[in-house]
Amino acid sequence: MHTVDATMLLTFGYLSVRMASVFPFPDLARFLGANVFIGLIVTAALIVLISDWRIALFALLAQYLLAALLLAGLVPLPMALVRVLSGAFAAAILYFTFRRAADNFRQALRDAEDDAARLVIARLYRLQVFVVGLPFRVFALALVALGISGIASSMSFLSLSADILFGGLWLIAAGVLVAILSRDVLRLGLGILLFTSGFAILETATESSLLVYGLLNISDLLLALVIANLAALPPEPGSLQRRRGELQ
Amino acid sequence: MSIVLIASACVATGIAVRLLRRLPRLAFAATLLGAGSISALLAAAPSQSGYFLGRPLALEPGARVWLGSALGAASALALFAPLTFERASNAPASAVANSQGAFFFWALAAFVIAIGIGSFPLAVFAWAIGLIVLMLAAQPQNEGRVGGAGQFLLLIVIASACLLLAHRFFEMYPLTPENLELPRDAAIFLALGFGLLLAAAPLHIWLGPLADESSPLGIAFLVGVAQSVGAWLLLQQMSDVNWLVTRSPWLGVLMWGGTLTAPLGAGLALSERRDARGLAYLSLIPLGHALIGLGLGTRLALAGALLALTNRAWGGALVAGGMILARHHPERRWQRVSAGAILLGGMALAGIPPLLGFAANYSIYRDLGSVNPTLLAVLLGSNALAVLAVLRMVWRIVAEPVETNEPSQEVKVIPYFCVVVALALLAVLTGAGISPQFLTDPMMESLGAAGYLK
Repeated sequence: MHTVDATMLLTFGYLSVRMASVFPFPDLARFLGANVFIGLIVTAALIVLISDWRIALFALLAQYLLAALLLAGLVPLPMALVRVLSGAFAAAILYFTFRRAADNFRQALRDAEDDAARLVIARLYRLQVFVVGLPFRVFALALVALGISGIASSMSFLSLSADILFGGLWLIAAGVLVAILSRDVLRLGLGILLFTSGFAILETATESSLLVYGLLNISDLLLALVIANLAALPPEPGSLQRRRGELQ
Repeated sequence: MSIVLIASACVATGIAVRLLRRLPRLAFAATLLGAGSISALLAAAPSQSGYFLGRPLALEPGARVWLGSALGAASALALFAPLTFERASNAPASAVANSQGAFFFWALAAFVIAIGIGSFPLAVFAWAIGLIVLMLAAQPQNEGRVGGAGQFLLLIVIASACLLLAHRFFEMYPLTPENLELPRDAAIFLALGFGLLLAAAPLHIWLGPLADESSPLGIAFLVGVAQSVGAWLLLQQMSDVNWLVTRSPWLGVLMWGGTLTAPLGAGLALSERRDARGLAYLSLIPLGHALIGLGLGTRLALAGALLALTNRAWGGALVAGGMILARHHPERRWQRVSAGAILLGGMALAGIPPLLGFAANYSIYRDLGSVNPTLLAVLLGSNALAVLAVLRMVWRIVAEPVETNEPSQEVKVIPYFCVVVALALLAVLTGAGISPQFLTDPMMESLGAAGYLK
């Protein structure tokens, strides 16, 4: 992890804790405690801010665990733990794809002719993850966090309690943010899974159907599979020379 | 359990096509056999088909015709798929290209459940799963980079979430009828969900990037089959939830969506040079007509909208078949055949008689003319632009220098088979254009009784 990343992360973690004290949620303390929410904020922040894929994947897994803790207030614990299982499977699918991409990068570095070429490859690899730099991502994430805090504390939606609304909306918003800012399809996948995790919280809170809950978990696995497939598939030969399907 | 059996047959056919991907003739035969079996199962299925995961499955006459139309288009596209076969290879790109038909049948299995199951949330899930499976057939332009397929995955998730939230409002409103915000919120979420996945303007922007990462067959399946399933779910909601139309500006939203979609699609198609994108934009024109037909809220216009969506599936399949033939078979005779298929399919999409598109458009125009003549002129203009766009596409193929006039040593029978499929599609488009009541009567039997219709 780069020093600047770590500093930014610590700053953001501190701001998150401060925010939780500025916008107190009565239900939050009663049911689960602030730790789950701080954890959700920190894990989503790690995925948005840190380029390293191992940390991002670990954060996704931790996020699934925290989301399951949040869901445990809505459904029986064994059912909530299914969420952790599906998250673990999705993370495992993505892990192998991430590792393969990293191997390809190392191979490209080995094959490079000189140090200048290696520098270009390394730079390209780092730039591939996000379309914008770290300061912009920190700023965007802070804005999203403030917006979601404001929404969850000031308005009601489908009679959901403030803690559930915050947890769900935060993950949805963070997922959309990751997806918008990603250049790497695997990172986009992490954003999509964050989104579905947030939506699963809202859906489970409003719909008591076991079948829908199960389908949400299955769709997570399917999404991970398709994302891994898209990331691993090399481009069609010759597709870069000419716009695909151009008639003349 | 007939619907489950149909879905299982789709999965089995997909597996067979995938396994036979290196042998295009056998893949073609497996597709034909699978399509025939599924059609027979569909024709023989009883109306009440039992339960699936505790939810009722039913196949009313309208749903059966709709499913039959989707199956016809999907089968034609899967039969065209072996045209892309170039060499037996284990390269991932070749494996995906050679087994497109398998992904179509797997996605179709989910769509069969979506149409047959009597629960909107589960139908939305099934539809979304089918769309996600379809993305397995996409081919990224840049390795590891976000492209149209990745973006579409995100949109599937967002749109499904919107539709499930809309369903929650549907359930809540009868309990609190004094809360008039609920119908409005339901309409907003429904418009977002269906607008995104049906690519209604201005939510159509994902269509071009996705077309860049799909083959024309994949795009034709998406717009003709997958989006038709979504349109069916929308129609069912409009029939079941009467207050959606009376308590919210839903019909106005549909009219506006159609008014934007048809001319925009025509303009984009005219300026497009890439085949898959061209097909995607052309298909926006019948979608615009269908949305306007639904928005008019009359029985005749509804029948026109149903025909427009059917025409879109079959016409799009014909155009896609022509495009794939032009792309993979450079000999002069196949180029001419492909130009003919694109021309006739394009004319169907543009509503030229005696093809089905004309019957669809005429039904809509009759009711639209008395309500909004300006909009009628806009739609006629869109059709004129569509004709120009199709002629431009065909001209590019005909005028392109021929790479080889000599037939290769290899005996190519697949293009001949595909010409037969194209002729069958043309016959169906013409027959349905001359006698559209065979399609509309069973569909209107259930949908035509909706309370909101004038």
